Amino acid sequence: MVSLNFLDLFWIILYIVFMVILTLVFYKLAKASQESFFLAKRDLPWWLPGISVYGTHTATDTPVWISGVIYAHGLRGLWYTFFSAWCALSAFISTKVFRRSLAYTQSEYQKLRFSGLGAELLRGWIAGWQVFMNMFIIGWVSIAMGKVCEYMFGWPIWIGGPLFTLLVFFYVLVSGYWGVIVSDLQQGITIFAIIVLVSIWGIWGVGGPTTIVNSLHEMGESWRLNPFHFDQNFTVGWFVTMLVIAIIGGVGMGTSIDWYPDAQRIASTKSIRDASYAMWAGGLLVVIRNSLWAVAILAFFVAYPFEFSHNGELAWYRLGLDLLPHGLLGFFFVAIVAIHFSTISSHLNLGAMYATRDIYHHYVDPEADEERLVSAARLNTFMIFTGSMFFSQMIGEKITSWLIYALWLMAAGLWLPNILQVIWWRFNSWGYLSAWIANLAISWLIVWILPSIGIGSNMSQEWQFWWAMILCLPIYMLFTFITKPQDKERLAVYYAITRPPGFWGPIKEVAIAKGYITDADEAVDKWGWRDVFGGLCAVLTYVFWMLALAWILLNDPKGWVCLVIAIVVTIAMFKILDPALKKQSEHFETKEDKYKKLVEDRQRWIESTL
Amino acid sequence: MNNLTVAGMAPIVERMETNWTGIVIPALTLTISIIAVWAVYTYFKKS
Repeated sequence: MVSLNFLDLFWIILYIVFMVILTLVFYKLAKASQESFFLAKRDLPWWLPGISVYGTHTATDTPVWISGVIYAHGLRGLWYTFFSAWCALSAFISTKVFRRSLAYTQSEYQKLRFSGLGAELLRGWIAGWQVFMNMFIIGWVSIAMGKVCEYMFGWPIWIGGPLFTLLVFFYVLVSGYWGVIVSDLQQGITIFAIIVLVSIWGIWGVGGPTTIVNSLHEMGESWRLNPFHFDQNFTVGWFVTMLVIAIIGGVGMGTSIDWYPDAQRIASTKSIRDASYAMWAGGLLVVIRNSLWAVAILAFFVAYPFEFSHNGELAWYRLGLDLLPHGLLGFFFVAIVAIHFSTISSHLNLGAMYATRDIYHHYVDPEADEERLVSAARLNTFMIFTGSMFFSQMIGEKITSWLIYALWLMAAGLWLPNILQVIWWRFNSWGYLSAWIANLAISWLIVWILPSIGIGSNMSQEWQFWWAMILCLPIYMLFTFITKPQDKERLAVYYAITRPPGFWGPIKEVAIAKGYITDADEAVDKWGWRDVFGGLCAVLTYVFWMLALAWILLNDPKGWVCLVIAIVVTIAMFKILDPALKKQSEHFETKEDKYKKLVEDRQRWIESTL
Repeated sequence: MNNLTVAGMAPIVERMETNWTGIVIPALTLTISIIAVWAVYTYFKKS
């Protein structure tokens, strides 16, 4: 139990009151239309959704599981957290494609990318899955909040989580995505301030960087300072697997569970350029945050070296709760609440968007007017909240094992199909649908069923991932080739709007023949070596900013070398990519209204073309 | 291995005494976040 004094309680109450009231003023903007309730009129500058990407990737359970991997692996655990690096390539590839598609959701994108019955089945399937997943995520994040409240106040777990989730429900119900994005702004400021404060406070609390380094040497644990320390518990194979999944995954859509909330942020930006920078900057903030946390958790390890078996997952929380003076202790709890608010609000609104845009509007009432759609959106927000409370009771306390399963393995067989849907014209809806079904079956088989009967029970995680991918591959390739390609004329419309990279030759020919693409379009939108070098620089920015910060905080001179490289690659990335991004954004805006009309027609089952 | 528990653990580091940071830092952060949100609201209300 942690005892709070008057100053702590004063800050807690004041902040919570402001966090809720400031979002309610956006009520009028939210009720204007479905687009306003879920996408803030597609009018946001990059930094607003960028902060939101960062806020959404920072949940109450995030420090819990990052503490777990850093406690177990030292600095090499940073690579476990590096899955956010998918944002680096995505920002300049799949983010651009998705923003251009003008879809609200990943399910709606299926209807634009594919056609016919297969596309409808995919849309319905992904929408249903996302409604379920958002309830599930809110459930597990609420459990993490419950654990924090149990540690701080001695409350039972089932009280702390639902109590604060209920407060978020009210402002998301009233202000929709405006409430989400604006609360993410104020919460993002608070969260970043406290992460910096607690981490630095923790590092100095145990005696500073030199003490941490010296203590680890004295304890015979100096390997924890090396992010490239490989042994049987952290193999080169696993390291390479994680890098491939994270970095190359950015070419596709949905290769990370975070893609789904981030796609909403992408769709809400006012231009392609804003979408790209929102994703790049949001992901970079996440990577920087991870370094701060990692060093702080090393500090905690030095202070409490053998405690992991008791309560190590709460390492970062305990740095704040055990060390900070009163006043800042209350502020720390405010940040925990802000982290919880930010994540819950995103997933409440996201789940409601899938239920409203993809299920209610598309399948139940395509002719619904804006007033009715906003009412449906609010009703669905209530439905997601209620369902999530059910899941929070079901999940229990095994947060880390559920998370690792959900983040890495459940998507293993889908990883490549998620990329193929972006880069290969011949990949069709039946191939993608079969991949979803095969992946669910094979992942359960590899992770749960076979080990329970003694087969592959010692298989490492990287082999679980590769086996799931290899076993799914022949299934979806078979279904792709035994079924017809998508209608080429419809694909040409999709191609002209989104301009995806990769293998689209036959479709491009149709698009040119139909007049959907002109020489002027080609001059602006064509992919080239510029994108390869720019993308490479984007990935390197994440790697070097992460290493620079971790090593600088440990007073290691390698950090300053990495910092110089980080600055150089960041500047190079802007110089290479920004001029083209500006031109593409301006060019796309001249056609955006025409494209939007086509997308809205298809939402209402009206077949129109460019 | 030692046998420390969460509840009975001898503290290696202790809570710092209350000081000005407990007032200034939360107040400054709250002020910045309120101004930021209000600026966003004003911008979109007019646009």
